[in-house]
This record gives sequence, structure tokens and C-alpha cells, in this order.
Amino acid sequence: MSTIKEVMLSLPSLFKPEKAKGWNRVILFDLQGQEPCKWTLTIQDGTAVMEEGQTKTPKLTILGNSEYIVQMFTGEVPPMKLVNAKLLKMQGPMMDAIAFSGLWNLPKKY
Amino acid sequence: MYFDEFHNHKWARNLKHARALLAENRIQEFYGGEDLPDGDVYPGMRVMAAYWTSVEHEMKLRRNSLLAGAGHPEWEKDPELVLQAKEFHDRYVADMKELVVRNEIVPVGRIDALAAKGWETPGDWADTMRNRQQDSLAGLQAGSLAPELIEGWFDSCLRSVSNYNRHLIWGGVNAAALVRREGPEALEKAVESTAESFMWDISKEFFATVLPAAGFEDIGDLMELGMRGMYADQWFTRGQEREEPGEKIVRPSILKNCELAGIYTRVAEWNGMPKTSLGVGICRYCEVHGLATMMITMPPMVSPAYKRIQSLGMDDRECIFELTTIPADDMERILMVQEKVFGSVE
Repeated sequence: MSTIKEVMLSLPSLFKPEKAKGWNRVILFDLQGQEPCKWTLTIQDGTAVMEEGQTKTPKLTILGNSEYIVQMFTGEVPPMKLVNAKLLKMQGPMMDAIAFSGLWNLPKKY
Repeated sequence: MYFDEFHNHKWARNLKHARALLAENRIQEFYGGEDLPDGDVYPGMRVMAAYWTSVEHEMKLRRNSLLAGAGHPEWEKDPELVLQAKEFHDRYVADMKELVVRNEIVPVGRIDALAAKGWETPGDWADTMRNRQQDSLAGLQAGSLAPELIEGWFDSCLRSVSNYNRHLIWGGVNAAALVRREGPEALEKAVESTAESFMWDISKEFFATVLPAAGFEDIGDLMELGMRGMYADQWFTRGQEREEPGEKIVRPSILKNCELAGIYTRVAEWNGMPKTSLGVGICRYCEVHGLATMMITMPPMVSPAYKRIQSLGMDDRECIFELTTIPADDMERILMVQEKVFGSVE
């Protein structure tokens, strides 16, 4: 299984810039579980930049265990399954959470 | 029974089930809900209380929208209409009394006690609901729920059910008056002229105001409410999904009953009108409400459309609504909805 650091650093390559037109946001991953950590994702003008730690004030915060984030971005579990089961929480404007779901070119192993 | 039990009193089945769960000490399910063997869903107290409170707000908005569209906001205080609405709501309350006794939900005196306090949504409803949610979570962790907390949940549900039907009945009475006084075209015109504004007003009311106040702000909570809340008073099934040319995926929703159609049918009949004569006063608003909800909740990789195929209110046949999605790059919709519902794009 990938580490959370590997997954976080891979996000810019999974990012679909054409889906983020006009959508500039700071997103914080505030994670517990097997690998507690914080990562800040900045989406600005069609680019995604990931930084370790909380480096900016987020508009959207994603909370949950690091292993679930790994499962989501490696395509082992559908994102909505994790959200519906409340294993991941998204704090912030509802529409940002909806928009966030459409930004990624996720592999599908399920 | 004045109103149709199948259409208008599913709440009683759910609250009866809640009592049965308590008798088995299944407090997690009492609060959090469960799927039932027959395909139905018991939504649980947390979801039902929030759902019924939100539809209280919805029915007031529907009533106000219709009167605004009719150009008769003054009918709000029309003595004839106020009196008829009260008379018909008293019949609904009589049904509730019969059902709480038959299903051993609460002693019948509890309905009288709620009525004595007044049916309208209390000003502090959100604080009360969030306090009950916190107390319930603490109780579930400790393994028991305090009796006053349990009865508070029942009171909340019963008051909300009565009050949302009170506003719904009142709206039906207004619709009937519009048809009687100005003809069926006046009703259609009133609805059409307000459908677009209702579509966004109800979305603002739900997603920006009432649901966050009720503790449903997280996307997971909202999805749960969306998926389970409707079972509070609806018999719902999913139709057969199909693909159509152009990568379209069509997902039908089938509603076997309709609280609104049940009420409007009775109001029409008691006014000497055909049963579907007021249906446009509900179904068109349902259609735009559904469309807005899909525009809000569908991810940007698809573009949604939503339409009524047939309905109990207008056709006297089970409601079928179809959601059609097409692959798209629809971030513009997300930004537009953000502005219309939540007020800023940033």
C-alpha cells in the first residue's frame, strides 16, 4: 500500500486542470489514523500545488484517516462510499465539496 | 380517517417503528435509522426530525410563492380561506390522534398538549434540535437515552408533521380559491410565474439556511439526508436505469405515494372539484425543486436534467421523475449554483 506522502505528492499529476476553470481554492487535508499528518493543496489558475503541513488558511478541510485517503486516490474505494459512510468528512462550503469530487483522474480498482 | 393513510400518514408507520426499536433497546437504530426487509427505510430520529422541519419551511414557501404568483398576498388573511384551512387541518389532527392511539406512539393527550403550545415552528428550533443531537450522541455512547430526550424527539416529529401539513393544507385551500374565483388558468399562471424563483428560494432555504441550522452541513450528512429523509413520508423505489444515445444515462425515481397530492386531492374534493384539478399547484414546484437539487448535488463531470414524467397530483398515477446525466465539463454550473444558492463565487 502506498504511503500518504506518496499519495499526496501524486495529486498534482492526477489533477484535471480543465475541470477547475474559475475554481481557485485552498484545501487542507487534516488526517489521523495510521499516518497522522496535514497537507495543504492550492488550486490556482488551473494548477495544483501540494505542500506538507498547514501552510495557508483553507476554504475546504478534508478530515479522516490517512488510509482512507490513500484508498480513495489509489482507486481502491469509491470516494462517495467513504463520504457516505462518514469515514471522510469535508468541512466547508457544500458546493466546494461537490466541485472537489470532479477534479481528479482517479484510477478504478473496484 | 379524513385523509388517505397511504399518502398522508406514513409518519405513523415510522414513529411506530421507532417505538418498537426502543422496546428492543435498539437505540442506535432508533436514532440513526435502518434499512427494512421490505425495501423501505426507517430514517431514524435525527434524519426525520430535520427532514420534517425542513419541509415545514418548504410548505410555507410554497404557499407564499403561490399567493405572490396569483397577485393576492392579501389572501393570507382572507377570513374564508383561513377558516377553511383551519377546518381541514383540524381533520388532519383528528387523523393524527387516531393513529397515535392505534399505533401506541404517544398518549392522545400529547397531541392536545402540542396543539395548546401552537403548531408553528418555534423560534429556537435549531438550538433545540442541535442540543438533542448532542445529548443523543452522548446517550448512545453511554448506552441509554434519557426518557425526556426520547419524548422530545417524538414531540418534535409530531409537531413538525402537523405544522407542515397545516401549511400544505393552507396552500391547497388558496389554490382551490384561485380556481374557484379566477379559473384554472389563473392557478397555472401563478405557478409558472413563480416556478423559477421558487426553485432558487427553496434551495437557499434548504441548503444555505435550514439544513446547516439543523446540523446537516457536511456533505456526508447531506447525502444521508437526501437518500434517507424522503422515506419519512414517502414510499420510494428506483426505476430501471437506461442508457440513451449521446452517452445519456436516465435514472427514474418512482414515488408510490405523495403527501402533497394526498392533501390537495382532499382539498379539491371538499371544495367540490375534480381530484387532480389543483395538481399543477404542487407538481410543477416539485419538478423545479428536484432540478435545483440535482444541479446542486451532481458533480461537475456530468450535466444534469430533471423532469416530471407523470404524477399523482396531475395525472392520478404514481409519480415518475427522471434524472438524465450527460458527461460534461460543468464547473460553470457549480459556480452558478454557488452564487445563486450560497451568495458568492469568490
